[in-house]
Amino acid sequence: MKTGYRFFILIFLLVVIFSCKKDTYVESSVSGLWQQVSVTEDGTPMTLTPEQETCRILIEANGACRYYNQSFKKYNSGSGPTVFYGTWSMLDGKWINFTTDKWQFIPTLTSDSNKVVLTYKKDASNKIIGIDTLTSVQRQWSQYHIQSRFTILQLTANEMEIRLKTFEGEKKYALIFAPVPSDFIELKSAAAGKANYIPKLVTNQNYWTIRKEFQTLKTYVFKFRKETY
Amino acid sequence: MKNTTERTSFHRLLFGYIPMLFLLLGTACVKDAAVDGTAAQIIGTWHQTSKTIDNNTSPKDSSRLIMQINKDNICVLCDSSKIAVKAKTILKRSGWSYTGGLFNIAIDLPASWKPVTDAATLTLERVDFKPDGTLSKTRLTFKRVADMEIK
Repeated sequence: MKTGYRFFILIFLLVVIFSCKKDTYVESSVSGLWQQVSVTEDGTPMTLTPEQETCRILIEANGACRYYNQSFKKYNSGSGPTVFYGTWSMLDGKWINFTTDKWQFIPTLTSDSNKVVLTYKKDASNKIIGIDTLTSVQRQWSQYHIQSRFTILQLTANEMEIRLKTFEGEKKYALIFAPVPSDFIELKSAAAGKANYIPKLVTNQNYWTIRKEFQTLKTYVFKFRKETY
Repeated sequence: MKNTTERTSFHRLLFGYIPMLFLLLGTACVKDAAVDGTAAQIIGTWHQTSKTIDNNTSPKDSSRLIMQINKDNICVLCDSSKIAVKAKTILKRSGWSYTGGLFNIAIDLPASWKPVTDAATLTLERVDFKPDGTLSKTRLTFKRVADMEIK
C-alpha cells in the first residue's frame, strides 16, 4: 500500500514538473529584421534569382510583419512593388504562422475538348488577333491572403530556420517569401493601389504542369540570418 | 493500526498539501502581466514639434500636426496636407492600441510606432523599407498641449 502511495506521488510530481516545462522558443526572439539566406526543396538547395536573394522580413512585436523582395521591381517601369504585408504569430513555442498573399488556380476547361478557356483580342471585323493575356489571367487566378504554418527548426539570436510542408504550387504562386519573377507577369491594367502582379498565363501547354504542382507535396526549409538596424 | 495512521497521513497529504501545491504551481506558471505605463501616458493631445528621417531634420509630417489620443482607443489626427484641406478631410479618426511595446494607429498599419514618453513629450519612431531594401527610421517628436475637444 505504502509503495502505491509513493508511486502515486512520484507520478503526480512528474506530471507537475513536465506541465511547467518552458516552451522551446519564445515570441520575443522572433522580432527583428531577417535576411533570407537559403531555401531547400525536399532537402535540395533551390537556386535563388538575384531578386529572391533580396528577401527580408521585418517582424514586429505587435504581430505585423513586412516582407521585402525585388521580384516585381521591374514592373511599372522599374518602380514596381517591393514591400508586402502580413501577420505572424507563434503557436506553442514550436510553430510560427505567417500570412501571405497566394493565388488560387481556377482556370476553366472547355467541356467538349478539355482545352483551357482563354479570352481573345478581336479586331473591328471580330477576327481574333491574339490572346488577351491580362483578361485571361484574371479569370485563371484568384488572389487571397492565407496563413501558412511553419515548424521552427532553429531560432537563435542570429538564425531562424523554419520548415513548411505544402503543395509545390501553393509555395510557387505565393509570396512565400519571394517568388521567382518568371512565374508572374505584370498586370498593366491594375487600378491604382491594386496589385499589379499575377501568376503567368495558363495555356494548354502548361495547364497540366501547373495542376500537378498543386497536387505535389514538398517540404521547404527557409533559413534566415538576423540583421541589426 | 499502522495502516490506519498511514491512510490518515495520506488523506492529509491528498486533501491538504496537494491543493496547496497546485495553487503554488498554478501561480508560478502564470506569466507576470507586463507592467507598462506607456499606454496611459500616451493619452492626451500632442502637437508635433519636429520630424527626422535617419537623424536628418525633415519637414514636419503634415498628416498629424495635432494628434489627440483618447482613452477609448480612438485617436484624432489633424491632417493639414494640401490634399486633406482640399478634400475637407482635415480630421482623421482611427483606432489605436498599444501592444508588444508598440503604438499602433490603425491607419498606419502595418507600420507601428515605438513610443517614448514622459509627462510633456512624446517621441514616436518607426522603421520602413526603402526601395533598395535598407531601412529608414522616422522619428516624430510631440509636445503635450492642453486637451481640447476636436469634433
